[in-house]
This record gives sequence, structure tokens and C-alpha cells, in this order.
Amino acid sequence: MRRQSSIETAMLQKLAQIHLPLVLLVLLLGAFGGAMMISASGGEAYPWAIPQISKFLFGFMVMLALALVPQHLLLKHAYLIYFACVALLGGVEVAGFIGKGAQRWLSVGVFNVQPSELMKIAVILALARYFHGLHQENVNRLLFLVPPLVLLAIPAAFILHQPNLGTTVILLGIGGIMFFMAGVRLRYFAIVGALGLSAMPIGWHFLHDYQKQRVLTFLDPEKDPLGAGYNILQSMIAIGSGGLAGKGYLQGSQGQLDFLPEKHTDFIFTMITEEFGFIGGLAVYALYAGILIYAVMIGLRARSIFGSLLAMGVAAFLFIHMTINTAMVMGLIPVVGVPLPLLSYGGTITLTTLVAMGLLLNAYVNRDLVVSRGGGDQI
Amino acid sequence: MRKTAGQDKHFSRRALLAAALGGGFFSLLIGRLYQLQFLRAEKYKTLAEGNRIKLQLVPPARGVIEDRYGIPLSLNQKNYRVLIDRSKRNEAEDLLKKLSLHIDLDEETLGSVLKEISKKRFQTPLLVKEYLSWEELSRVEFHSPELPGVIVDVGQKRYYPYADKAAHLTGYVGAVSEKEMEAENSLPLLRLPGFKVGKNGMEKRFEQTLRGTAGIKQVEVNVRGMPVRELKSTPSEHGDALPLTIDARLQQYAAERFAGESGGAVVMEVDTGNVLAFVSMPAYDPNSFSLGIKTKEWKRLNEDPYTPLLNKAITGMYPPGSTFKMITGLAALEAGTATPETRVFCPGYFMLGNHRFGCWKPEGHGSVNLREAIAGSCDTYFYTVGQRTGIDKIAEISRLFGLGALHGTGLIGEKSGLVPDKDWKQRRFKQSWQAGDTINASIGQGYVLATPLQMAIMTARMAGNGVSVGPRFVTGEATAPFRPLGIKPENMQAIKTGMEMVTNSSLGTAYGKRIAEERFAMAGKTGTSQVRRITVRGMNQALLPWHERHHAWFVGYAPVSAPKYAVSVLVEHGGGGSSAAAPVARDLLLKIQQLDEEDRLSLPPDRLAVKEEKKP
Repeated sequence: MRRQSSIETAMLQKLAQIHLPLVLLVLLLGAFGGAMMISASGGEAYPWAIPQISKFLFGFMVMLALALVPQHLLLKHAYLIYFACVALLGGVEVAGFIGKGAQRWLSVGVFNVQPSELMKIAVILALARYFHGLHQENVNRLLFLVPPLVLLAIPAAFILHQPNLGTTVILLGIGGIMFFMAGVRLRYFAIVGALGLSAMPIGWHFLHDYQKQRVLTFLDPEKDPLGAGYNILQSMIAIGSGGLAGKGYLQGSQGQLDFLPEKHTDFIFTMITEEFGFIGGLAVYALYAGILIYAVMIGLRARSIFGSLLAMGVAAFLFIHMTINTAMVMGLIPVVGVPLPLLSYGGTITLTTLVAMGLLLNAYVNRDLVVSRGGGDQI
Repeated sequence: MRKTAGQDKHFSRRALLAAALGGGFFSLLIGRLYQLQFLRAEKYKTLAEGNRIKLQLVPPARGVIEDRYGIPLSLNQKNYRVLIDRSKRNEAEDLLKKLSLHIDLDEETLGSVLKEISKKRFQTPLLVKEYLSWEELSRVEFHSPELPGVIVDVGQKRYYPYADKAAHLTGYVGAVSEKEMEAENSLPLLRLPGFKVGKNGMEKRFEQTLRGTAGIKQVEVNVRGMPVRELKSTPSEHGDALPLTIDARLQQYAAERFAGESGGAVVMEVDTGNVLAFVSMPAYDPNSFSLGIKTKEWKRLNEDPYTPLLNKAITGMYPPGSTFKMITGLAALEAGTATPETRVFCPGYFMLGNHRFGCWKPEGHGSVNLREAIAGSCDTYFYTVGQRTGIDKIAEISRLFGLGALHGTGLIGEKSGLVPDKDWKQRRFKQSWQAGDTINASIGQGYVLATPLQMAIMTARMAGNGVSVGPRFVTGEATAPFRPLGIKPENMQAIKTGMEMVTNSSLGTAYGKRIAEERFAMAGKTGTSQVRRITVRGMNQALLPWHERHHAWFVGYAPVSAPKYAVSVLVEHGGGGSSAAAPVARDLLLKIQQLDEEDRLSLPPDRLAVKEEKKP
């Protein structure tokens, strides 16, 4: 009885600890996303608005629940979660190959699970756990860097094989930033960078035809042999037509965007900037910037390495998605199918992002917790 | 672990560095946004008035498939089409009703258009009807003010002048399937209304070459969707022409020669491997496939016992029968188990233990050597030397001459036939190889299977310069290099002498079907492969129902003096190789040689150069 109430009080105390501004920013993004879904379907609640808002609400609950989870549990189960995700990823290769060309989904009952998305979270957890447990002096010993590199490489290889170049790049980006924040010497990054550059010609050879085409199209989308640059041209024209304040809410689907089929997913940013102009675009960046700034602050504030790295990993996740997606629709980089978190339509990305936010909130709630290297419970 | 003070500082420094870099990226992105929305504003000035810029993909003209002299086997014709703008989905029903006053629209079409137009996914205009006549098109155009949102355009349709005669060679084009869409990552070009891709034959094999490059047109349109002006355009590039090695005259002649019969034939150049004719008859008319075949017609084609939808030249696998005997003979010579002068006595049968294997000539051939055995197609001779040589050597020689393997045609349905050996039987049936299996294999029966293409390749390799010539369908295409076969020339010659006697000696089974003109003389081998058991062999084939008669084969080459062309002909259930297949083969070899002679006399030098085109 007493034990139960003490847990209850602990939970309530934690609830009070939740970082309200962050939650508010997340809610704002979710609401914005919902509003855009209505516009994308021409003012209707279906087929995108209601499903997306429900998924968001579900994920929102998950996010709050995760924020309240005791940190030592996360530490304890980090590797387990990681291996479970890798297993799911392997399952896609086997079971999913029966499906269409690029196997990325696994059907689990009613849900369509995209293991490569979950993998991003699992890698953040696993890497944070690993570096948390590492002695300071070992961080730059090559021997001790092998395990986390393998941790990163295995899922990256699977995902690259699917083939999914976009997610692989994101995964490596998140991993890279976490290595950086964990204190790995800059010299090593330079070496890896040099290796990467010299491997590019070889890598080019291994790319699938459509991937090569995407890069070539990017270099000159107007001289486009297969019509693949068509979408980007449409997107840039649509963005351009927004001007300062845009054409107005709900005007997108009557306007330029009538020609873009993916406006509710990859091209949601295009739609926002067509309807709300430069102001709308700045608003999106401001919302993300807000979350990112808080994330960095939490990372600085947290007293355990696990918490700090968790926060930075989540920041990396958000930052990379936002950058790649908006850069792509504005024609700055080749077409890579990467969604915009909380604004793009999609159950998996929404859920994954909210789980990430949950981990971030968790890091904040436990910011004063000092956890031992082994993850044992502390004061 | 709790952070030490040093770690804290280190972490903070890095966090700041990361934040600074992040800030840099932000500026880049915001800068780009600014550039698109302000600096390029004049470009989009018109958009202030509520106009839009419409990007249209301009479909490319498909490349032409030609024979070696440039005669088109597959080309484009004007295709008049009527489409409907998807933004008119609310008025669609009325619009279609008005439209049907001017052109025929059946229930099925109306239904599918209405269903498709309510889907919000795609934005390209919806195809209502194509292949309209010029009159129908004019009517619609004339009434266009009453039909806002109805678009007419001139597309292309694929036309096959040789229809069924080159059907399995050209293949046909059809609408893009979901699977094909996914395989190319939902390329916007594939989503254009009525866009067609190759489904079969050369149309499919060389889809990327033939397709060409789409163009992009930027058109400013007003709120009603009417084009105001064209802003910029990148022209489309038509697909490359595909020059086949085929000689259209020979192809047509060969296909017509099969009239009423079911079978396949392949004519190849011995030196280069160029395929001059590639026939499978009866076939279907690819023009009706490209236009959209009716269910009834499709059903009829599927149920026809002559299997017009099957390409017999590469998909039909048959026991080669006596046309296989050269392989057995050559295996014996190479293994040393026989010489060209070795004699075998044929009493009309061969005993394996207690089992009696009959020769097709019940009274027997008497004493025969290799070339007499080939000429007279003596089964006993080959049972004997086959047994002495063993299946492994026979299988080895078979494979050397192209049997039991694929030849990289890249066409759908190419089969590899079967060359059996001891390992194979063990794997396939979990049984060990019997002596009787070798006996059967020696005369091309039992488990041995080959396609007409493979038999042509075998013949070309025998007739030629001792290298592993392979089939080539496209002029100038690189093939796998031809390697020396490693057969002793005197052995090959002994075999060829036998083949010459088949048609040119009174001992030969095809003497009556020889080519009289000496300069065009042919050599070859008849073959009759059993469909029913040996007990009804020799029975009058005409008395059996069609599907029980033997298959008739003939393989041959000409001219004997310096072989240039090799042919293989298979007539399904034709009865006798000599009676049914040999005449066809003779006519094909005669025809190509006559054409060759005429061409040399009449062609201008540059066209002659095309003919002379030698090694890849």
C-alpha cells in the first residue's frame, strides 16, 4: 500500500517535471499537420486529416508515457530493444520480399510496421547506452569504438540493401552526430570523411539505376530524360508562387499543387509554403528550431551521459529529417523520399517522432539523475 | 555515468559547435526559401493573377524496329485520342453524355472513366478513347466549345506490318501494369494516359532503347485550365531504332511456308551467328494486342491446340530424334570408340541383353560405316556406338554444340532444353542411369530435349569454323566471344560428309528433297521424334490423330562447298522428318541463297556493306 502510493507520488512528481514548452511545440506541430491534411484533401476530413490526427493523438499518449518511464529501465532494455529491431529488420528481408520491388514493410496484423524507421530510435538508445557505459579514457581507443560502429553498420547494411538510400543516410547521420557528441576525436571523423569520399566512385557503381538517375536529375532537373525531375520542378514552382504570405489556406489544392500527387507526404513543406508563403516556411523552421534548442539545452543540463546523448540523438533525428526533406523539395539535393516529422502524413514517422520526443522528455525529467555506468538504480 | 567537470566542458563545447553548424544549415535553407519566393518572383509574376504553370511531359516517339535492310517490322502511326481533364470530375457524367453524341462510347468505357476520374491521386488527363478515326476526331474538335475539359490529341500507336509472321520476334506493346510501374519507381512518364511499354519479344527486351526521352513543356494556364502561353520547353527525343539481323523477306517467306502447320524455324548465318529468320507459327496478330484485345479472341488464342501464344522457336522443347545422331557419332569419334570406317551390321534391330531396340528400317541397313549410317539414319549403328561411348561423353559433346543451355536471347520463355547424364538422373528421379537410357539418348530420344533455336545453333557450329558461334539478333550487338570447340577437323568432316549424303546421295533419307542447283547444294539431317511409344513407330502417321503423330525435324546448312547458312525446322506432329520438315528447310535455304545472289547483283554498295557485316 505504502509502496504503491510512493510510486504514485513519484509519477505525479515526474508529471510535474515534464517540459511544458516542448510539449506545446509538439502539439503545435501536430495541429499544423492536421490542418494541412485537411487542405491537402481539398477541405475534407478524409482521407488524411482524421487518420493522421488519430495517429498523432495515439503517439502523443505514448510520448507522455515514455517520459514517465524510469530511466534505469531504458538503460536496462536499450540493447534488447536494439536487437529486437534488428530482428524485425531481418524479418522484412525474408518475409517482405514476397511483396513488391523495394521491401520495407512488414505486416503485423492490422499495422504496417516499417522497421527501418524504428531502427533510428533503437540506434539512438543503443549508442547512448554504450557510450554511457564507457570510461572517459576509452572513448578514443579504436578497440572500444568497434562495437558501436558495428551497432551502426549492421542495420545500415540491411536498410541499404532494401534498397533505401534515404533512411541509410539518416541513420548514419544520427550515428555520426552521436559519436561526435560522445567525444570521439575529430581526427577520426576526418579519416572517415576521407574514406567516404574516396569510396564514392565505387559506391556509385553499386547504386541502382533509379538512384543514379535521381542524382543525375538533381544536377539538372530541367534536362530530364525520364520525367523524374518533373516533381521537383513542380515543387519549386509551387513554392515560388507563395511569395511573402502565400495564396491562403485551402488554396493549395486549387493552385499549383494540383499537379503534385505527394503533397500530403514528402511535399507537405511545398504545400505549406504555397499556402502561407515565406512566413509559413519561417514558422515551420521556427517550430523545429524551438524543439532543437530545447533539446540541446536538455543535453547540456542532463547529468548522466545517457540522458545527454539521448537528447542529442533525438535532436539529430529531427534536424536531419527536416533538413533533408526541405532541401529536397526546394531542389537543393536529389530526390530522397524522406518525410517531414509531424507534418507529413504517415503513421510510422509520426509514431517514431513522438517516441523520440518521449525519450527527450524523459531525459529532461531525469536530468538530475546520476546513473552508474552499469545502469544501476541511484538516488 | 555522471559527467566529470572535464567531460561537461568538452560536451558543452561540442554541443555549441553542433548548434553553430545547425544554425548554418538553417540559414542555407531559409536562404533558399527566400530565393525561390522572392528573387525568382518575376518568373512567377503571372501567378498573382491566379494563373498556374502547368508542367506537361511530352511523350517521346518510340523507336522503330527494323530488319537488317531497314524495313520496318514495328513502327508508329498516328493515334487520335480523346481525353478528359481530371479537374472536371464533378461535371464528368454530363460531359461524357455530350461527348457520346459525337463518338461511340460503350457502357464499359463510360463506367471505367467515371470510376477512374473520382480518384484524387493522379493529375494527368484521363484517356477516354483512342484509335479514333479522323472524322470522329474532327467532330469532337468542331464541338469543343460545348465540351470544356475534353482534350483531343494526336498520340502514336504501334503498327506491325508483318502481323503474325513476325509476332514472336517483335512482341507487342501494352498498357503499363502496376508491377512495371513499381519496377521503375512510378516514373511520371509511365503515368501518362495511354502510355505503352513492350510486353513481349524485342519490344520488351529493348524497351529502354526504344522508349526515348520525354520532353517537358511549361505552359501557363488560367483558372479554367485553358493554356495562355507556352513558357519553356525541352523537346522529347525519340527512341533509337533497333536494327535486327533478320531479313524481312526471308521471315515472311518462312512464316508463309508454315501455312496450316504448327512449328518453328530458325535460320542463322554460320560465321556470325546473325539470325535471319525466327519463326513460330501459327502466331497471333500483335496489332490486335496493341489495340486492346477482346476477351473472346484472347480465349480462342489460349485454347488453340496449335498454341499460337507460345514461341516454339525458343520455348518449344522436343526430343531431337535422329537430328541428334551427329552428336553421338562425333562423341564416338572424339572418344576413339569408333572411326569413320568402323562398320556395324544392322539387321533391323539391336539387342541389349534380352531387350530388343528396333531400327526404323525393319529389314535393316546391312553393314554401314559412319557416313552411310548418317545418310540412312541407321538407328542400330548409333545404338551400338552410343553404348560403346557412354552417356557422359555424349552429354559433353551435346553441350559443346549448344544443347542443354540458354543462349542469352533475353526473350521471355527461352528454355534450355535438356541434356541428360548420370548425375542429372540421380538428382531428378533419385534413380541410377540405365544402359537403355544411353541407347535411347543415342538417337535423340529418351530424356533429351531441344528447342529449334538450339538445333540451329548446333548445326551452325557443325557447319562452321569449329567455334562456338552463338545467336545474334541485333546488328552490331556484342555477343559472348566465340571459342574454339576443340574438335578434330577430320572428325567433323566425317560427320559433315554423312550430312551431305543425306540429301545428295541416293542412300540419303532426304534425297528426294535435295537442292538441285549445285552452287546452292545443302547438307542436313532428318529427324522424327516420337510422341508415342516405339511399338507404333513405322505405323502410318497419317492414320494417327494429330497430337499423337511424331514431330518432324530437319536441320541443314548450305551451300555445301562453303557453308553460309544453317537452318532448323520443326513441324509439330508433322509425321516424318523427311516428308514434312525437309521440304520446308530446303525451301528456306534455297530462298536465302537466291536472295543473296540477287542482292549481290542489284544492291548499291552501301547496302551491300550491310550484308557483308561480319564479326561483332
